[in-house]
Amino acid sequence: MTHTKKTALRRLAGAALALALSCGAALAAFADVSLEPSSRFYVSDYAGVLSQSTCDDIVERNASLEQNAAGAQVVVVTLNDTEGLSLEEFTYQLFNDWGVGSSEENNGVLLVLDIAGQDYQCLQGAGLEDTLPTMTLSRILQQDLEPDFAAGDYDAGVAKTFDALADEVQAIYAGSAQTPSHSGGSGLGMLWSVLGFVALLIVVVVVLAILSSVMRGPRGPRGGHRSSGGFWTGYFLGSSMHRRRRPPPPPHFGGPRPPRRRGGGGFGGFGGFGGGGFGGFSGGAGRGGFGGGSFRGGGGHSRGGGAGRGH
Amino acid sequence: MKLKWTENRALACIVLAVAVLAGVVGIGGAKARSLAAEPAAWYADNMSADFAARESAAGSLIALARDAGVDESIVEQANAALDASCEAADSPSARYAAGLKLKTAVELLYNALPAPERDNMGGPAQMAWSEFSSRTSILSHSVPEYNALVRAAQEKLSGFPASLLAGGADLEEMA
Repeated sequence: MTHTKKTALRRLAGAALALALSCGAALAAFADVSLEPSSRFYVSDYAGVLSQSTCDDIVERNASLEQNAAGAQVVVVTLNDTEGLSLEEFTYQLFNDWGVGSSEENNGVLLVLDIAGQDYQCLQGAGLEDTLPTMTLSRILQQDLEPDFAAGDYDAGVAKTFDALADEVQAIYAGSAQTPSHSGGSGLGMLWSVLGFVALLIVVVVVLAILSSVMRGPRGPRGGHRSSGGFWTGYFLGSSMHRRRRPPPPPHFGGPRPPRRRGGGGFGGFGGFGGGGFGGFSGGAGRGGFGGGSFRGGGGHSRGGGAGRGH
Repeated sequence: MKLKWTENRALACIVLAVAVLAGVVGIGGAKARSLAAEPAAWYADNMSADFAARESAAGSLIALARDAGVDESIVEQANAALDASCEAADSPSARYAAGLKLKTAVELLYNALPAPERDNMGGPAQMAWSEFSSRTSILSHSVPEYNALVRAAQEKLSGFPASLLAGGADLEEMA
Protein backbone atom coordinates (compact mmCIF):
# COMPACT_ATOMS: atom_id res chain seq x y z
CA MET A 1 0.00 0.00 0.00
CA THR A 2 1.45 3.37 -0.99
CA HIS A 3 2.18 6.09 1.52
CA THR A 4 -0.55 8.29 0.05
CA LYS A 5 -3.15 5.60 0.45
CA LYS A 6 -2.07 4.89 4.01
CA THR A 7 -2.32 8.56 4.89
CA ALA A 8 -5.73 8.80 3.32
CA LEU A 9 -6.92 5.77 5.22
CA ARG A 10 -5.63 7.11 8.50
CA ARG A 11 -7.38 10.42 7.91
CA LEU A 12 -10.57 8.62 7.02
CA ALA A 13 -10.37 6.54 10.18
CA GLY A 14 -9.79 9.65 12.24
CA ALA A 15 -12.76 11.39 10.69
CA ALA A 16 -14.94 8.36 11.26
CA LEU A 17 -13.89 8.20 14.89
CA ALA A 18 -14.60 11.91 15.37
CA LEU A 19 -18.00 11.48 13.77
CA ALA A 20 -18.81 8.50 15.96
CA LEU A 21 -17.81 10.38 19.09
CA SER A 22 -19.83 13.43 18.18
CA CYS A 23 -22.85 11.26 17.40
CA GLY A 24 -22.46 9.61 20.75
CA ALA A 25 -22.33 12.98 22.46
CA ALA A 26 -25.38 14.14 20.54
CA LEU A 27 -27.30 11.03 21.48
CA ALA A 28 -26.37 11.50 25.12
CA ALA A 29 -27.73 15.01 24.92
CA PHE A 30 -31.15 13.58 23.97
CA ALA A 31 -31.39 11.58 27.23
CA ASP A 32 -33.74 13.76 29.28
CA VAL A 33 -33.32 11.96 32.59
CA SER A 34 -29.98 11.83 34.33
CA LEU A 35 -31.04 9.66 37.27
CA GLU A 36 -29.13 6.40 37.42
CA PRO A 37 -30.40 3.26 39.12
CA SER A 38 -28.88 2.15 42.40
CA SER A 39 -26.55 -0.82 42.45
CA ARG A 40 -29.52 -3.04 43.33
CA PHE A 41 -31.49 -1.68 40.35
CA TYR A 42 -34.91 -2.95 41.48
CA VAL A 43 -35.17 -0.38 44.26
CA SER A 44 -33.61 3.08 44.28
CA ASP A 45 -34.58 4.86 47.49
CA TYR A 46 -33.14 8.28 46.80
CA ALA A 47 -35.65 9.95 49.10
CA GLY A 48 -34.58 7.68 51.96
CA VAL A 49 -38.08 6.66 52.99
CA LEU A 50 -37.92 2.89 52.63
CA SER A 51 -36.81 0.39 55.23
CA GLN A 52 -34.08 -2.15 54.60
CA SER A 53 -36.53 -5.02 54.86
CA THR A 54 -38.81 -3.48 52.20
CA CYS A 55 -35.82 -2.98 49.92
CA ASP A 56 -34.68 -6.55 50.51
CA ASP A 57 -38.15 -7.88 49.77
CA ILE A 58 -38.29 -5.92 46.53
CA VAL A 59 -34.95 -7.31 45.41
CA GLU A 60 -35.80 -10.87 46.40
CA ARG A 61 -39.21 -10.80 44.77
CA ASN A 62 -37.77 -9.40 41.55
CA ALA A 63 -35.21 -12.18 41.40
CA SER A 64 -38.11 -14.60 41.58
CA LEU A 65 -40.09 -12.67 38.96
CA GLU A 66 -37.20 -12.68 36.54
CA GLN A 67 -36.94 -16.43 36.93
CA ASN A 68 -40.63 -17.25 36.81
CA ALA A 69 -42.22 -14.46 34.80
CA ALA A 70 -40.18 -14.23 31.61
CA GLY A 71 -37.80 -11.58 32.88
CA ALA A 72 -40.50 -9.29 34.31
CA GLN A 73 -39.32 -6.57 36.66
CA VAL A 74 -41.19 -4.35 39.12
CA VAL A 75 -38.93 -1.45 39.95
CA VAL A 76 -39.47 1.10 42.71
CA VAL A 77 -37.91 4.55 42.84
CA THR A 78 -38.34 7.22 45.49
CA LEU A 79 -36.99 10.70 44.91
CA ASN A 80 -37.43 14.38 45.60
CA ASP A 81 -36.62 15.84 42.20
CA THR A 82 -38.06 15.08 38.76
CA GLU A 83 -35.49 17.18 36.92
CA GLY A 84 -37.95 19.80 35.74
CA LEU A 85 -40.28 17.30 34.10
CA SER A 86 -43.80 16.36 35.09
CA LEU A 87 -43.79 13.17 37.12
CA GLU A 88 -45.64 11.40 34.32
CA GLU A 89 -43.06 12.41 31.72
CA PHE A 90 -40.19 11.72 34.10
CA THR A 91 -41.47 8.21 34.79
CA TYR A 92 -41.86 7.54 31.06
CA GLN A 93 -38.31 8.71 30.32
CA LEU A 94 -36.91 6.78 33.26
CA PHE A 95 -38.67 3.58 32.27
CA ASN A 96 -37.18 3.65 28.78
CA ASP A 97 -33.76 4.89 29.86
CA TRP A 98 -33.43 2.08 32.38
CA GLY A 99 -35.09 -0.52 30.16
CA VAL A 100 -37.36 -1.97 32.84
CA GLY A 101 -38.52 -5.49 32.05
CA SER A 102 -37.36 -7.79 29.32
CA SER A 103 -36.86 -6.55 25.78
CA GLU A 104 -38.74 -9.49 24.31
CA GLU A 105 -41.84 -9.16 26.50
CA ASN A 106 -41.73 -5.47 27.50
CA ASN A 107 -43.08 -6.65 30.86
CA GLY A 108 -41.69 -4.13 33.27
CA VAL A 109 -43.52 -2.04 35.86
CA LEU A 110 -42.06 1.13 37.32
CA LEU A 111 -43.38 2.82 40.45
CA VAL A 112 -42.01 6.28 41.16
CA LEU A 113 -42.74 8.21 44.34
CA ASP A 114 -42.00 11.92 44.30
CA ILE A 115 -41.91 12.62 48.02
CA ALA A 116 -41.23 16.34 47.77
CA GLY A 117 -43.95 16.76 45.17
CA GLN A 118 -46.32 14.48 47.11
CA ASP A 119 -47.13 12.55 43.98
CA TYR A 120 -46.63 9.11 42.54
CA GLN A 121 -46.83 7.46 39.17
CA CYS A 122 -46.95 3.84 38.07
CA LEU A 123 -46.19 2.79 34.52
CA GLN A 124 -46.37 -0.58 32.81
CA GLY A 125 -44.38 -1.84 29.86
CA ALA A 126 -45.88 -1.99 26.39
CA GLY A 127 -46.30 -5.76 26.69
CA LEU A 128 -48.46 -5.45 29.79
CA GLU A 129 -50.94 -2.86 28.55
CA ASP A 130 -53.63 -5.45 27.92
CA THR A 131 -52.99 -7.77 30.87
CA LEU A 132 -52.16 -5.07 33.43
CA PRO A 133 -54.26 -2.15 32.19
CA THR A 134 -54.23 1.35 33.54
CA MET A 135 -57.47 0.75 35.43
CA THR A 136 -55.84 -2.09 37.38
CA LEU A 137 -52.84 0.07 38.19
CA SER A 138 -55.16 2.83 39.29
CA ARG A 139 -57.11 0.48 41.54
CA ILE A 140 -53.93 -0.85 43.15
CA LEU A 141 -52.60 2.63 43.76
CA GLN A 142 -55.88 3.79 45.24
CA GLN A 143 -56.25 0.78 47.51
CA ASP A 144 -52.68 0.01 48.54
CA LEU A 145 -50.64 3.17 48.24
CA GLU A 146 -52.85 6.22 48.68
CA PRO A 147 -53.96 5.68 52.31
CA ASP A 148 -50.39 5.22 53.61
CA PHE A 149 -48.96 7.82 51.26
CA ALA A 150 -51.43 10.43 52.50
CA ALA A 151 -50.48 9.52 56.06
CA GLY A 152 -46.78 9.83 55.32
CA ASP A 153 -46.07 6.14 55.85
CA TYR A 154 -44.38 5.67 52.51
CA ASP A 155 -42.63 2.46 53.45
CA ALA A 156 -45.85 0.65 54.30
CA GLY A 157 -47.55 1.95 51.18
CA VAL A 158 -44.71 0.88 48.92
CA ALA A 159 -44.52 -2.56 50.51
CA LYS A 160 -48.22 -3.23 49.94
CA THR A 161 -48.27 -1.72 46.46
CA PHE A 162 -45.20 -3.58 45.35
CA ASP A 163 -46.64 -6.88 46.56
CA ALA A 164 -49.89 -6.21 44.74
CA LEU A 165 -48.08 -5.30 41.50
CA ALA A 166 -45.76 -8.30 41.73
CA ASP A 167 -48.74 -10.58 42.40
CA GLU A 168 -50.50 -9.25 39.30
CA VAL A 169 -47.44 -9.79 37.11
CA GLN A 170 -46.87 -13.25 38.53
CA ALA A 171 -50.51 -14.16 37.94
CA ILE A 172 -50.24 -13.09 34.31
CA TYR A 173 -47.40 -15.48 33.70
CA ALA A 174 -48.74 -18.24 35.90
CA GLY A 175 -51.83 -18.22 33.73
CA SER A 176 -49.81 -18.51 30.55
CA ALA A 177 -47.49 -21.10 32.11
CA GLN A 178 -44.41 -19.28 30.89
CA THR A 179 -41.17 -20.28 32.42
CA PRO A 180 -38.08 -18.17 32.43
CA SER A 181 -35.86 -18.65 29.45
CA HIS A 182 -32.78 -19.34 31.43
CA SER A 183 -34.28 -21.88 33.77
CA GLY A 184 -35.93 -23.42 30.72
CA GLY A 185 -32.53 -23.16 29.17
CA SER A 186 -30.95 -25.26 31.89
CA GLY A 187 -33.22 -28.17 30.97
CA LEU A 188 -32.63 -27.43 27.34
CA GLY A 189 -28.92 -27.27 27.97
CA MET A 190 -28.92 -30.75 29.49
CA LEU A 191 -30.85 -32.07 26.53
CA TRP A 192 -28.34 -30.55 24.17
CA SER A 193 -25.51 -32.02 26.21
CA VAL A 194 -26.98 -35.49 25.83
CA LEU A 195 -27.69 -34.97 22.15
CA GLY A 196 -24.26 -33.54 21.64
CA PHE A 197 -22.67 -36.55 23.28
CA VAL A 198 -24.70 -38.92 21.14
CA ALA A 199 -23.76 -36.95 18.03
CA LEU A 200 -20.14 -37.08 19.11
CA LEU A 201 -20.28 -40.84 19.48
CA ILE A 202 -21.87 -41.29 16.08
CA VAL A 203 -19.29 -39.10 14.40
CA VAL A 204 -16.44 -40.92 16.12
CA VAL A 205 -17.78 -44.28 15.04
CA VAL A 206 -18.28 -43.14 11.46
CA VAL A 207 -14.83 -41.59 11.23
CA LEU A 208 -13.20 -44.66 12.65
CA ALA A 209 -15.12 -46.88 10.29
CA ILE A 210 -13.95 -44.82 7.36
CA LEU A 211 -10.39 -44.85 8.60
CA SER A 212 -10.53 -48.55 9.16
CA SER A 213 -11.72 -49.21 5.65
CA VAL A 214 -9.02 -46.90 4.28
CA MET A 215 -6.28 -48.63 6.21
CA ARG A 216 -7.57 -52.13 5.48
CA GLY A 217 -6.35 -52.19 1.89
CA PRO A 218 -4.10 -54.34 -0.24
CA ARG A 219 -1.16 -52.12 0.64
CA GLY A 220 -1.64 -53.05 4.20
CA PRO A 221 -1.23 -50.88 7.19
CA ARG A 222 1.53 -48.35 7.26
CA GLY A 223 4.09 -47.97 9.95
CA GLY A 224 3.33 -51.26 11.52
CA HIS A 225 -0.11 -50.17 12.73
CA ARG A 226 -2.84 -52.75 12.85
CA SER A 227 -5.48 -52.30 10.23
CA SER A 228 -8.41 -53.09 12.42
CA GLY A 229 -7.21 -51.97 15.74
CA GLY A 230 -9.49 -51.30 18.59
CA PHE A 231 -11.58 -48.26 19.14
CA TRP A 232 -8.86 -46.17 20.74
CA THR A 233 -6.20 -47.35 18.30
CA GLY A 234 -8.30 -46.07 15.49
CA TYR A 235 -8.93 -42.86 17.40
CA PHE A 236 -5.26 -42.12 17.89
CA LEU A 237 -4.52 -43.20 14.34
CA GLY A 238 -7.01 -40.67 13.15
CA SER A 239 -5.38 -38.00 15.25
CA SER A 240 -1.91 -38.84 13.98
CA MET A 241 -3.11 -38.85 10.40
CA HIS A 242 -4.64 -35.46 10.91
CA ARG A 243 -1.40 -34.27 12.40
CA ARG A 244 0.48 -35.40 9.32
CA ARG A 245 -1.93 -33.51 7.15
CA ARG A 246 -1.56 -30.31 9.10
CA PRO A 247 0.03 -27.67 6.95
CA PRO A 248 3.41 -26.30 8.04
CA PRO A 249 3.27 -23.28 10.33
CA PRO A 250 2.61 -20.22 8.24
CA PRO A 251 5.49 -17.79 7.85
CA HIS A 252 3.32 -14.83 8.89
CA PHE A 253 1.05 -14.03 11.77
CA GLY A 254 -2.56 -15.04 11.58
CA GLY A 255 -2.18 -18.18 9.56
CA PRO A 256 -4.95 -20.70 9.11
CA ARG A 257 -6.24 -22.52 12.11
CA PRO A 258 -4.82 -26.02 12.28
CA PRO A 259 -7.32 -28.54 10.95
CA ARG A 260 -6.34 -30.79 13.89
CA ARG A 261 -9.15 -29.00 15.73
CA ARG A 262 -11.59 -30.70 13.47
CA GLY A 263 -10.04 -34.03 14.18
CA GLY A 264 -9.63 -35.72 17.50
CA GLY A 265 -9.04 -32.54 19.40
CA GLY A 266 -11.79 -30.72 17.62
CA PHE A 267 -14.58 -32.69 19.19
CA GLY A 268 -14.29 -30.36 22.10
CA GLY A 269 -16.33 -27.97 20.02
CA PHE A 270 -19.44 -29.97 20.76
CA GLY A 271 -19.10 -28.95 24.34
CA GLY A 272 -20.74 -25.75 23.26
CA PHE A 273 -24.07 -27.51 23.42
CA GLY A 274 -23.81 -27.46 27.18
CA GLY A 275 -26.10 -25.46 29.39
CA GLY A 276 -23.79 -22.50 29.61
CA GLY A 277 -24.38 -21.65 26.02
CA PHE A 278 -28.03 -21.00 26.69
CA GLY A 279 -27.60 -19.04 29.85
CA GLY A 280 -28.19 -15.71 28.25
CA PHE A 281 -31.36 -16.27 26.25
CA SER A 282 -33.56 -13.35 27.09
CA GLY A 283 -32.60 -9.76 27.72
CA GLY A 284 -31.38 -9.32 31.21
CA ALA A 285 -33.09 -12.29 32.69
CA GLY A 286 -30.36 -14.83 32.33
CA ARG A 287 -27.30 -12.70 32.74
CA GLY A 288 -27.21 -12.90 36.46
CA GLY A 289 -27.14 -16.64 36.32
CA PHE A 290 -29.50 -19.11 37.86
CA GLY A 291 -31.06 -18.31 41.21
CA GLY A 292 -30.45 -14.54 41.24
CA GLY A 293 -31.68 -11.39 39.56
CA SER A 294 -29.86 -9.63 36.81
CA PHE A 295 -29.71 -6.32 38.71
CA ARG A 296 -30.04 -4.41 35.47
CA GLY A 297 -32.71 -3.44 33.01
CA GLY A 298 -33.67 -6.03 30.47
CA GLY A 299 -34.25 -3.51 27.69
CA GLY A 300 -37.99 -3.24 28.19
CA HIS A 301 -39.97 -0.39 26.70
CA SER A 302 -43.08 1.55 27.66
CA ARG A 303 -45.35 3.72 25.55
CA GLY A 304 -46.25 5.91 28.50
CA GLY A 305 -49.57 6.45 30.22
CA GLY A 306 -49.98 4.48 33.40
CA ALA A 307 -51.74 5.72 36.51
CA GLY A 308 -50.90 8.26 39.15
CA ARG A 309 -52.22 10.04 42.18
CA GLY A 310 -55.72 11.18 41.41
CA HIS A 311 -55.76 9.87 37.82
CA MET B 1 -42.36 -5.10 -49.95
CA LYS B 2 -44.58 -4.98 -46.95
CA LEU B 3 -42.65 -5.30 -43.73
CA LYS B 4 -43.56 -7.86 -41.14
CA TRP B 5 -44.76 -6.33 -37.94
CA THR B 6 -41.67 -7.66 -36.26
CA GLU B 7 -39.52 -5.68 -38.64
CA ASN B 8 -41.42 -2.40 -38.31
CA ARG B 9 -39.16 0.04 -36.51
CA ALA B 10 -41.81 2.65 -35.92
CA LEU B 11 -44.06 0.08 -34.34
CA ALA B 12 -41.17 -1.16 -32.24
CA CYS B 13 -40.51 2.37 -31.00
CA ILE B 14 -44.14 2.80 -30.08
CA VAL B 15 -44.22 -0.52 -28.27
CA LEU B 16 -41.02 0.38 -26.44
CA ALA B 17 -42.40 3.74 -25.38
CA VAL B 18 -45.60 2.15 -24.15
CA ALA B 19 -43.63 -0.48 -22.22
CA VAL B 20 -41.46 2.15 -20.57
CA LEU B 21 -44.46 4.23 -19.64
CA ALA B 22 -46.24 1.19 -18.25
CA GLY B 23 -43.17 0.36 -16.23
CA VAL B 24 -42.91 3.83 -14.80
CA VAL B 25 -46.59 4.09 -14.00
CA GLY B 26 -47.02 0.48 -12.93
CA ILE B 27 -43.91 -0.28 -10.94
CA GLY B 28 -43.16 3.29 -10.01
CA GLY B 29 -46.73 3.94 -9.07
CA ALA B 30 -46.89 0.89 -6.90
CA LYS B 31 -43.75 1.92 -5.11
CA ALA B 32 -44.97 5.49 -4.65
CA ARG B 33 -48.29 4.30 -3.24
CA SER B 34 -46.48 1.93 -0.93
CA LEU B 35 -44.31 4.76 0.40
CA ALA B 36 -47.33 6.98 0.86
CA ALA B 37 -49.16 4.26 2.78
CA GLU B 38 -46.40 3.71 5.36
CA PRO B 39 -47.51 6.41 7.81
CA ALA B 40 -51.13 5.28 7.61
CA ALA B 41 -50.12 1.68 8.23
CA TRP B 42 -48.03 2.70 11.24
CA TYR B 43 -50.94 4.76 12.54
CA ALA B 44 -53.28 1.78 12.17
CA ASP B 45 -50.90 -0.50 14.08
CA ASN B 46 -49.75 1.87 16.80
CA MET B 47 -52.21 4.69 17.37
CA SER B 48 -55.68 3.87 16.15
CA ALA B 49 -56.53 1.60 19.09
CA ASP B 50 -55.36 4.26 21.55
CA PHE B 51 -57.57 6.86 19.91
CA ALA B 52 -60.50 4.46 20.11
CA ALA B 53 -59.86 3.63 23.77
CA ARG B 54 -59.64 7.30 24.62
CA GLU B 55 -62.91 7.99 22.81
CA SER B 56 -64.52 5.15 24.71
CA ALA B 57 -63.35 6.61 28.04
CA ALA B 58 -64.69 9.99 26.95
CA GLY B 59 -68.02 8.38 26.17
CA SER B 60 -68.15 6.89 29.68
CA LEU B 61 -67.41 10.26 31.25
CA ILE B 62 -70.07 11.97 29.17
CA ALA B 63 -72.65 9.40 30.25
CA LEU B 64 -71.66 9.77 33.91
CA ALA B 65 -71.77 13.56 33.66
CA ARG B 66 -75.21 13.46 32.11
CA ASP B 67 -76.47 11.18 34.89
CA ALA B 68 -74.86 13.40 37.53
CA GLY B 69 -76.68 16.45 36.19
CA VAL B 70 -73.70 18.38 34.88
CA ASP B 71 -74.49 21.53 32.89
CA GLU B 72 -76.01 20.42 29.58
CA SER B 73 -73.92 22.81 27.49
CA ILE B 74 -70.70 21.32 28.83
CA VAL B 75 -72.01 17.82 28.19
CA GLU B 76 -73.07 18.72 24.64
CA GLN B 77 -69.74 20.34 23.91
CA ALA B 78 -67.95 17.18 24.98
CA ASN B 79 -70.38 15.06 23.01
CA ALA B 80 -69.87 17.07 19.85
CA ALA B 81 -66.10 16.83 20.24
CA LEU B 82 -66.38 13.08 20.70
CA ASP B 83 -68.50 12.73 17.55
CA ALA B 84 -66.00 14.77 15.56
CA SER B 85 -63.13 12.62 16.78
CA CYS B 86 -64.94 9.40 15.88
CA GLU B 87 -65.90 10.70 12.45
CA ALA B 88 -62.27 11.56 11.69
CA ALA B 89 -61.12 8.00 12.37
CA ASP B 90 -59.85 7.47 8.82
CA SER B 91 -57.69 10.57 8.74
CA PRO B 92 -54.88 10.49 11.30
CA SER B 93 -54.20 14.22 11.22
CA ALA B 94 -57.88 15.13 11.42
CA ARG B 95 -58.45 12.68 14.23
CA TYR B 96 -55.55 14.14 16.17
CA ALA B 97 -56.86 17.68 15.69
CA ALA B 98 -60.32 16.62 16.79
CA GLY B 99 -58.73 14.82 19.73
CA LEU B 100 -57.18 18.05 20.99
CA LYS B 101 -60.63 19.62 21.16
CA LEU B 102 -61.97 16.46 22.77
CA LYS B 103 -59.27 16.64 25.46
CA THR B 104 -60.20 20.23 26.31
CA ALA B 105 -63.91 19.44 26.41
CA VAL B 106 -63.48 16.33 28.55
CA GLU B 107 -61.21 18.11 31.04
CA LEU B 108 -63.91 20.73 31.44
CA LEU B 109 -66.51 18.00 31.82
CA TYR B 110 -64.50 16.10 34.45
CA ASN B 111 -63.92 19.22 36.52
CA ALA B 112 -67.63 19.98 36.32
CA LEU B 113 -68.57 16.66 37.88
CA PRO B 114 -69.88 16.82 41.41
CA ALA B 115 -67.05 16.38 43.92
CA PRO B 116 -68.32 13.06 45.34
CA GLU B 117 -68.29 11.60 41.79
CA ARG B 118 -64.98 13.11 40.79
CA ASP B 119 -63.10 12.47 44.01
CA ASN B 120 -64.39 8.94 44.49
CA MET B 121 -61.03 7.24 44.05
CA GLY B 122 -61.60 3.94 42.35
CA GLY B 123 -65.06 5.02 41.26
CA PRO B 124 -66.24 4.89 37.63
CA ALA B 125 -65.55 8.56 36.90
CA GLN B 126 -62.03 8.42 38.27
CA MET B 127 -61.29 5.17 36.43
CA ALA B 128 -62.57 6.56 33.12
CA TRP B 129 -60.57 9.73 33.65
CA SER B 130 -57.48 7.64 34.42
CA GLU B 131 -57.91 5.72 31.17
CA PHE B 132 -58.53 8.92 29.19
CA SER B 133 -55.40 10.56 30.62
CA SER B 134 -53.30 7.46 30.09
CA ARG B 135 -54.24 7.15 26.42
CA THR B 136 -53.66 10.87 25.89
CA SER B 137 -50.17 10.45 27.30
CA ILE B 138 -49.45 7.40 25.11
CA LEU B 139 -50.66 9.23 22.01
CA SER B 140 -48.47 12.21 22.78
CA HIS B 141 -45.43 9.92 22.74
CA SER B 142 -46.49 8.32 19.46
CA VAL B 143 -47.08 11.55 17.55
CA PRO B 144 -43.39 12.39 16.94
CA GLU B 145 -42.75 9.01 15.36
CA TYR B 146 -45.80 9.30 13.15
CA ASN B 147 -44.80 12.79 12.06
CA ALA B 148 -41.30 11.58 11.26
CA LEU B 149 -42.78 8.94 8.96
CA VAL B 150 -44.94 11.54 7.27
CA ARG B 151 -42.00 13.85 6.70
CA ALA B 152 -39.92 11.02 5.28
CA ALA B 153 -42.74 10.06 2.90
CA GLN B 154 -43.28 13.67 1.89
CA GLU B 155 -39.61 14.06 1.09
CA LYS B 156 -39.51 10.95 -1.05
CA LEU B 157 -42.67 11.85 -2.89
CA SER B 158 -42.08 15.56 -3.32
CA GLY B 159 -41.04 15.48 -6.97
CA PHE B 160 -42.89 14.74 -10.20
CA PRO B 161 -44.11 12.17 -11.13
CA ALA B 162 -43.80 10.58 -7.66
CA SER B 163 -46.33 12.98 -6.14
CA LEU B 164 -48.76 12.17 -8.95
CA LEU B 165 -48.26 8.43 -8.70
CA ALA B 166 -48.72 8.42 -4.92
CA GLY B 167 -52.42 8.82 -5.46
CA GLY B 168 -53.23 11.66 -3.07
CA ALA B 169 -52.57 9.81 0.18
CA ASP B 170 -53.19 11.60 3.47
CA LEU B 171 -49.70 12.80 4.30
CA GLU B 172 -50.25 15.45 6.88
CA GLU B 173 -48.48 15.68 10.20
CA MET B 174 -50.37 15.63 13.47
CA ALA B 175 -50.00 19.14 14.78
